[in-house]
Amino acid sequence: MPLLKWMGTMDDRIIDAPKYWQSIEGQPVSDADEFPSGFVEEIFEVVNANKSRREFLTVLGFSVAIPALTSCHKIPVTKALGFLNREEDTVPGVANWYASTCGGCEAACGLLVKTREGRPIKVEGNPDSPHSRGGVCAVGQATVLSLYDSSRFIQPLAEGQPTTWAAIDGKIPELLRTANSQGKIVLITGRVSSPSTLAVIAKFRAKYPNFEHIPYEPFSYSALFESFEKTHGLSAIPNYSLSDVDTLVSVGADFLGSWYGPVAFAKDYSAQRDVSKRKGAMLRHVQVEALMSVAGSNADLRVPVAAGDETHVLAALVREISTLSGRSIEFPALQLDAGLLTAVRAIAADLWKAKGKSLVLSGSNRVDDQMAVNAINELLGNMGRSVKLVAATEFAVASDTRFENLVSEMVGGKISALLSIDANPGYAYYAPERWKSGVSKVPLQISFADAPNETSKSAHYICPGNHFLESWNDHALGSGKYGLTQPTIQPLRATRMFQESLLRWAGETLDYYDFIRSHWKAQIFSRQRRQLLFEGFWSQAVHDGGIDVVEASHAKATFKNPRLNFDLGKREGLDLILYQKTGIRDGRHANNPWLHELPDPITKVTWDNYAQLAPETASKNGVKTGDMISIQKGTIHLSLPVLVQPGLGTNTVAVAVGYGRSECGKAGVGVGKNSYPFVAFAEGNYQRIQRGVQITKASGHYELALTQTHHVMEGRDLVREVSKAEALSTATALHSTQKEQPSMWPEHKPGENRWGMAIDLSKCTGCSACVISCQAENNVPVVGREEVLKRREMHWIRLDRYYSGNESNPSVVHQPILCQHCENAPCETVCPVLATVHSSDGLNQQVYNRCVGTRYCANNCPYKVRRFNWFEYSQDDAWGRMALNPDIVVRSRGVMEKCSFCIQRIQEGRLKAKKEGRKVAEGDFKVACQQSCPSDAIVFGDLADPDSKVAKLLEHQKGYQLLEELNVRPRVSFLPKVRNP
Amino acid sequence: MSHSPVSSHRKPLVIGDKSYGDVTHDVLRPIEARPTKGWYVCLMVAATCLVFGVATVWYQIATGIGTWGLNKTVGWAWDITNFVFWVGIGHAGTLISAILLLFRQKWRTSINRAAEAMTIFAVICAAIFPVIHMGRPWLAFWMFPYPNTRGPLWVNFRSPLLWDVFAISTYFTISLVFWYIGLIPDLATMRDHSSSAFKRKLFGVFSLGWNGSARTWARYETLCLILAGLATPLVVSVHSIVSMDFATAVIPGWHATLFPPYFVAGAVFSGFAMVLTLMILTRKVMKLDSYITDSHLQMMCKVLQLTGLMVALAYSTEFFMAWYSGNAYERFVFINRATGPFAWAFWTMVTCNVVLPQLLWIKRLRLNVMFLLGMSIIVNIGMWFERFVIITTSIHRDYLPSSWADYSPTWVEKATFLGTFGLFFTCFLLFLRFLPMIAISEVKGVLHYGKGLGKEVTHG
Amino acid sequence: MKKIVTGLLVLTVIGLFVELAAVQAKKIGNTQGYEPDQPISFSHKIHAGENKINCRYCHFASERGRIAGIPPTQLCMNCHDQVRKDSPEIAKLREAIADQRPIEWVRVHELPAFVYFNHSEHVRAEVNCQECHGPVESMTRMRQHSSLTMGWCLDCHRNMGNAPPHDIKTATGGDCARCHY
Repeated sequence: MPLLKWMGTMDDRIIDAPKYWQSIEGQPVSDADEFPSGFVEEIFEVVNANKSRREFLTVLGFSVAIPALTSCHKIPVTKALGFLNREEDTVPGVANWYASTCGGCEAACGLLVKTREGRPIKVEGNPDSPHSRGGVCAVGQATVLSLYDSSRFIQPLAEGQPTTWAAIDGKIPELLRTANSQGKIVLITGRVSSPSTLAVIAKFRAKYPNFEHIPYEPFSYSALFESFEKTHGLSAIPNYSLSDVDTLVSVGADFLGSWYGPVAFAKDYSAQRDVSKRKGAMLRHVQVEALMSVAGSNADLRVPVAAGDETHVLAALVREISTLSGRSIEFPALQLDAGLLTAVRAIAADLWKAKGKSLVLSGSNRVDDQMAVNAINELLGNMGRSVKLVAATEFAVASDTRFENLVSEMVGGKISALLSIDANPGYAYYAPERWKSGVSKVPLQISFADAPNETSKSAHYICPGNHFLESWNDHALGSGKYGLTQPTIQPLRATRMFQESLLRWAGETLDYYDFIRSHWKAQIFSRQRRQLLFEGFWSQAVHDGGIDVVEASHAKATFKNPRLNFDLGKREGLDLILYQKTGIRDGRHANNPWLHELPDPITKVTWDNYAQLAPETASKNGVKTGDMISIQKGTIHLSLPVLVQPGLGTNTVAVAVGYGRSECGKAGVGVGKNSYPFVAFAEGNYQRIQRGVQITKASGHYELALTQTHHVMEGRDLVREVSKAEALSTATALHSTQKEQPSMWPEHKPGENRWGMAIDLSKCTGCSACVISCQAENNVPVVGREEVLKRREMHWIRLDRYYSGNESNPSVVHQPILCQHCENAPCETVCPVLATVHSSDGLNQQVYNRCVGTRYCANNCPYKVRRFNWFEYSQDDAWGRMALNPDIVVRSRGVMEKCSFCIQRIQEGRLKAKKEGRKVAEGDFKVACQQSCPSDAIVFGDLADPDSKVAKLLEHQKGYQLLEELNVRPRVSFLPKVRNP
Repeated sequence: MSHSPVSSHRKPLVIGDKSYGDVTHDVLRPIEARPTKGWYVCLMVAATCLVFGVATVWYQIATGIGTWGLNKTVGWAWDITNFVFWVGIGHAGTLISAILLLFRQKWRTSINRAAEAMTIFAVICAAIFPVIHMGRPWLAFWMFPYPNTRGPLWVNFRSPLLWDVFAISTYFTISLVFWYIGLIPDLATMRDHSSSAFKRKLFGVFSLGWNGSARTWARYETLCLILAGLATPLVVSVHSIVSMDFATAVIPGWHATLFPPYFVAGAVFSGFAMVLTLMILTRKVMKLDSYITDSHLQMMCKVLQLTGLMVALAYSTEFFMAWYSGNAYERFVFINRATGPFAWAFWTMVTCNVVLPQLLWIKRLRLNVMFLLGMSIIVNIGMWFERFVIITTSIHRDYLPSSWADYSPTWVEKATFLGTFGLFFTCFLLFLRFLPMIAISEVKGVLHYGKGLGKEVTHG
Repeated sequence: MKKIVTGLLVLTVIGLFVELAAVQAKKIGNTQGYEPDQPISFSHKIHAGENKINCRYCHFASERGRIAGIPPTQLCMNCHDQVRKDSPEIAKLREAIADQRPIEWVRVHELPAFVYFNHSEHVRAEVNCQECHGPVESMTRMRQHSSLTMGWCLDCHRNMGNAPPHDIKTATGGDCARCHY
């Protein structure tokens, strides 16, 4: 009888989940049945495989207690397990932080990894990181969950049979030798920015000379990288910096969402747009694009164009700039209508005004487009300022042409061995059939993938690599900056870094850690003077998560006029643009439920990809949101639900890549559809923009799981906007219009602190990093598509996105909404059992264990920030539960929950201060959303302390409170959105 | 009982030349005779609904409240709607037995017993919802201040939900006591009337050794008056307090000072509608037309019309205030009510509660029993929708458009509601079977009322 | 007269029941006096009592973190490498270390997971271990001395004067989130 079953343990429901994690010192009996059978055995296999002490401790974290009942009372006995031998730095119940580097994407942002009892549970931005400077994106935040992905390989496999590393190392070198004699050995990786890894690969090449390393990125930047060779005669990758940019023009590059390195961009972007600091010089952002992107939603001027026209806009722009500069660049006649042309002229004029203090970006993967961009930046004198070229000596970047040749060679049977890591062409290659036939001709396939994917499926040998949180690695960040990745946990499974494997097979005895050290000693140590001894240098680097040395000298770049071609063929049918969603990106994270449930910053859709159409295009084709359409280009067709997206370029259909995975864990399989087949190899690169696409209305309707279904403010005073001019003049528009109203309730006695938050709406880009950060910090459950459809998503912080103006080109605002911690909180008066009450330092506390779940508080909340556990959401799988934060309870079903202003962090800070016998000070702690915000839009602090950042902020740039007319007196204030028209 | 005024121009309350013996006989007939086939059929249907309802509630408590159609924005819908609906129905009983007693409305005598029974059953049905709508109903006892080891930790006396707990429980207790006291003389009659020794013993116990002496009667009537006095304020207070669940909230469409009187009127409206339904049915089934006469029905129609108009006035006042307040949110809520996704519910409510009841002005219709039956049911439907409209249409689109959401019930909610009907009718049918549905003694008191025979009436 | 007497009797009986109920209600979930058998018959009496070993020598974590901590097995061996090597109980320790299996002690003091009690705070405030854990130095087998209920916590804190008495006039039941989050 289920009812009785847990009526017995009614309170435990709320208790047991976290109790298990509270410390390694005790697990409640009820966890015993929550482990998959054989789980423990697995663990001990891992241990026996390699009985290191540290490893054993990680195992300790989840050994299972045996249920028993004592005679005296009905409380189940829990066992308490102590360390056998304690690691120096681990104190039960105390967190340790390690500096590392993110492996979520190629941007390699600096991280601080929080571990508890040797278990990483949260990643945060490392403020000392040279380029990301403290922010992490949603994807980075979510990587900690992938570490505990239950679908990851447990040990190496040979022909699908479990085997040991010893056996692997005994067999593979043999096979490689034969492969080396029979044909070419190819290693495909993602973009490699690790000098040590490149050195490892060199070692491998030395052993097996008949070898080629081919980096492959499904959503590649190869045109961007190639273009510099052509325009500046230097094989280089760009480092962008907005720190001195006044005018920024992006043509289809979503540099705040998914393009290149969004976090680094966001940092500068928000700083440059801070009107209170930059005054008149506030950065002006122009976005010309077909997609409604995150970057575009923040632009001061946004020009929607058909996807195919992005190229022509660049053409017009380069012509305008070249005429302005007096240098003439050759290219055929323009194909651009007059309206757009005048717009471009204006933009060009702006750029010219901001010579040397501007930047032009393009998201295109056509070399000519990127060459045009280089030319423009060159002529504007941005080269070496906002665009720095970093010689690609320490990088291996994807080249679409090389990969294309590889596939032909495979089909031609010339490849004798295929090794793959971090790259998944089996899924992302545009012609799956061709790939399959190619693969079928490769006699030896080895995959280093840590979890099953479409490429590893056909592999003969699976030598699972580590998650980056289990790995050592280094990263070149350009201009003498290096990042370092250090393991924060022993490998959870019998996995091994792929560099390690390559070293073994190359006959090297060094393990990868020592290899990195020796490489650094030889290559990097010498380029600095601060540290005299390598050990000091090294521990410095490990401690800081990176190091800054003198840049290795390389050839200078010299610009020569390019010959450009902008002929895309004639317009016919619709333009198709493939793009990356903020969460899922190119699909490598497709098994991460956090990212699937992350609402798209613009469309607010979760758990799906879909065909975006502009309202005009939709009505022309007689379809509306939810209708199925079939998209056709030549022989390829795909049927997807429509999403009518205001501001999308007309005559354009936009589809996200990265969905429709067939081989991955249960979270990702069959979510959305795979749109990679629409990619075409043209002009030497994979083109993501197609012309001549047909759409036809298909039968059926598909409900998309949106977290926001109403998109306008109904003329309500929710988001206040002002122009730069108003902001500069002491504009009353900025001031809170409300004067203090009398209150029915007695004032709360002022406590020691008054916690409060200020959110700067002109800094918030909508990137949604805060959402995942909060989810990770506060054990916010994932509820799945069905529940989101029922409007039951659980996120404690959400981003309200509103449109205003006309449908074809609306202006967009993002408004982060979390519990406003009202002084006169409507929720507090109505709770019959005192489960939500006000604290002396002004927090609106939610006491989960007291809540009986009447939902009265949620009904009475004007901001609708309260979230209810409709079911037992917390029952995650045994691995996933390891990502839980032991410092906050996992809520049981039937309980209300909401933002607590990260009370556990406040408590931590308070305790720290208490132990040092002082008051809590600024910087003792940061709340999760504030910490992760790449654009510093969120400021949290003590309003009682006049010197605190938040108090000052509200003092100087008068903020306003949401719905202040209700006199609920929120503790969260908003700074108005400043536009720079 | 008290002296019946001699009258030649009033309609008799009991038609047909009934002797005291007849009254006793007529009323006790259904109890002593074997129940009719019709009764069995009704009971089967009711009991089935009840069992289905119980099963559903079990399932829903075991799986989670998520089995309902609610969401992050709409936290209450059918649950609290049903709660208010049943409490409302529970109003007629005490009103009839208490207020009408104080106002010396003789016509109450033949319907008050059944009406009070109805009240008790309705309140039981109502009380179910506040409990099962909780996320963790097994902790419902936390709603009561009881000694505990938490400090001790109290309940929140500011929360209208807590006021409900007290209001409803008090109301239930008083109604129950009042009903039982009213039963005592009849229980005695049954004791004296019944053949089996067991029954005589049983009723003997429950009639607390009633001996029908003038002294007993005197005390009895004083007690009734006192209880009536106690019960009367409750009739007003209970629904006022229920209305405060909404009136004290900040949600536009809930936050209105009008609510207490508005809800009380509504409650009486729906309560009387339900009494009317039940009376018309039972007097047919039980062949008691001569006790529950058409003039009784007419009386109830008057009450219906009056309260109906009050409710109509309240509706219009709400809209006027929304416009007059100049509060954008308030205005939007009411425009949204009449035109939004739930407009159909709103217009159903208006039709059932305001438009159709006006037909009662037409005497010919008013005298048509079948029409009355239909009308009473329509009013009940209308009143259910009134609560649904108030609760759901107000919260589903409140302050921040980003959080606007729709709502549709799942089968679980529907089944639970059906289950309460099952419970209600099962109880009522059993009541008809085992207790006198008409207050014998009181009817005897008014037997000659309006028949021009001005003679002292005492109990026989 | 007789009636009155019976009436009174009935009333007293009811009264007793209520009283009993109240007392029982307070006992729910209260594990005071819990004294289970342990896998190793470790005696605090010998260690803390007779040999006067400081509590925080073994429970060092109590100074740094939330949990006082079961001492690492190696720590026992610091002394027992020399002391009473041949005792069968000590043998268990050696085995544990040998086959890398930690000793499964039975947990005596256990707060529900929704309570975040921090030892270090209290140690710093110089609260004696005994104030909560009782005369451990005299316990041969560990016993839960205090009730560890919320009321028990609050009583102490009220005496210290740093917990607000429950004020039922306002909705504030105190700073719940100091311990519950």
